[in-house]
Amino acid sequence: MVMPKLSIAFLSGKGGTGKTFVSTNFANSIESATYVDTDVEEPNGQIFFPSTDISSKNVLVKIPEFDREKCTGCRACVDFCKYNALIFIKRPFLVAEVCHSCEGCYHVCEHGAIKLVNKKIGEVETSIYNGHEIISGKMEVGQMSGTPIIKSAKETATSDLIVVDCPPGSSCLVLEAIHSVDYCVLVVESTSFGFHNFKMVYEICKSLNKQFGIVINKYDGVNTLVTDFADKNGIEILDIIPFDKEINDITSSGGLISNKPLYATRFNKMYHNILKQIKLGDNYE
Amino acid sequence: MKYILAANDKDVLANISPVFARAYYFAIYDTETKEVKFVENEASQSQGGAGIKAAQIVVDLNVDKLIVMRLGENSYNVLKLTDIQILQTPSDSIENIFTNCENNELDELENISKGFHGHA
Repeated sequence: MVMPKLSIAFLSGKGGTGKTFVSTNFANSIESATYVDTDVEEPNGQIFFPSTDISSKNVLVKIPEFDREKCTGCRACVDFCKYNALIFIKRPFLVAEVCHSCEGCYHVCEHGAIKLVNKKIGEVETSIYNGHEIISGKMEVGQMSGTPIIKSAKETATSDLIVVDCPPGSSCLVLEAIHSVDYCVLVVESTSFGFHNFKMVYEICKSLNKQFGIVINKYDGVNTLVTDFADKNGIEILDIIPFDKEINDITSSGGLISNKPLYATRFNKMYHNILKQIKLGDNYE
Repeated sequence: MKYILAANDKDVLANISPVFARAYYFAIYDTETKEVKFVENEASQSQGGAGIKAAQIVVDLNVDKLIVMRLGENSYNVLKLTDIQILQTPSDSIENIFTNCENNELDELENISKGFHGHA
């Protein structure tokens, strides 16, 4: 079966629900799938795909540099900067840590006194594990925003199925991570806290018209907050993974449960369930 | 000479604002005219970089001394490029602080606050 390029994002709202656990095992279960870690502030997916051969490329953004000869001191750039990254004390200065690289100052300068120069904000690392392309975005300490790294990490992927492991929360970083993906898997913990933050990413997926389903992780068999909500709103529950000692032991020692055929089958079923749902939708050819 | 401090009320009997960049107003005291003038702090509504913008406003007002209870890193980094003297005060009324400043009873600021910069 020839598939068009497909990307599936795993997100959660609350940290620690198991985005990385589910997405690493999911990618590992589907032949030649690419795993992309977009949690650029603290990526850890690489731990589960050990490799000694990691290649890396820099992620650069543009920041302004001022030509003191050409600058007339008109302050147009300083007044334009909504991030307050520019100050004017006899001449313009950049507070680089606050700059969002919007390049606006460059465009408003009528005197050609600003040129844009490269600044490194992070790296994208690539390795291979059992035929899987493993990509990881890493942000440098002290940088303002990791969204360009997420974009670069996703663009690095070359296979026909791209598994995107999202950052926690519901911030700009998450929006960048799920931008242009075909399907979202909402990993949720069946606790009141987990449910609360799940609803935040649920709202995001709804407002972006994303197709999505739920994976309940660490299920205790008691709390029905998530299952009730899914029933009421007609949301597909893709899988319910129990709170289980063996799963915990394998994962906490850096292993993938999907290296066991029983679990690999389970994640494969999840994949086919997702494919079925995408086919039912409108934007699948 | 002109002194400036951050205020949350346009009232010299009210206390100084405990924070600098996100205070609603700045109170400016002119030692020649003995008058206190209040101006709005446009930086207080900034989404980010308020410390930088507030410092810029202070610089543009051409004051000689800034009096604070505490000051963040970003504001400090801007102000240190200028000749503005930064003085420290415990919480007190705006009126008292300006009097103390004029009597040279305030010390220079020793520590800057790291704050929560970069926590988006």
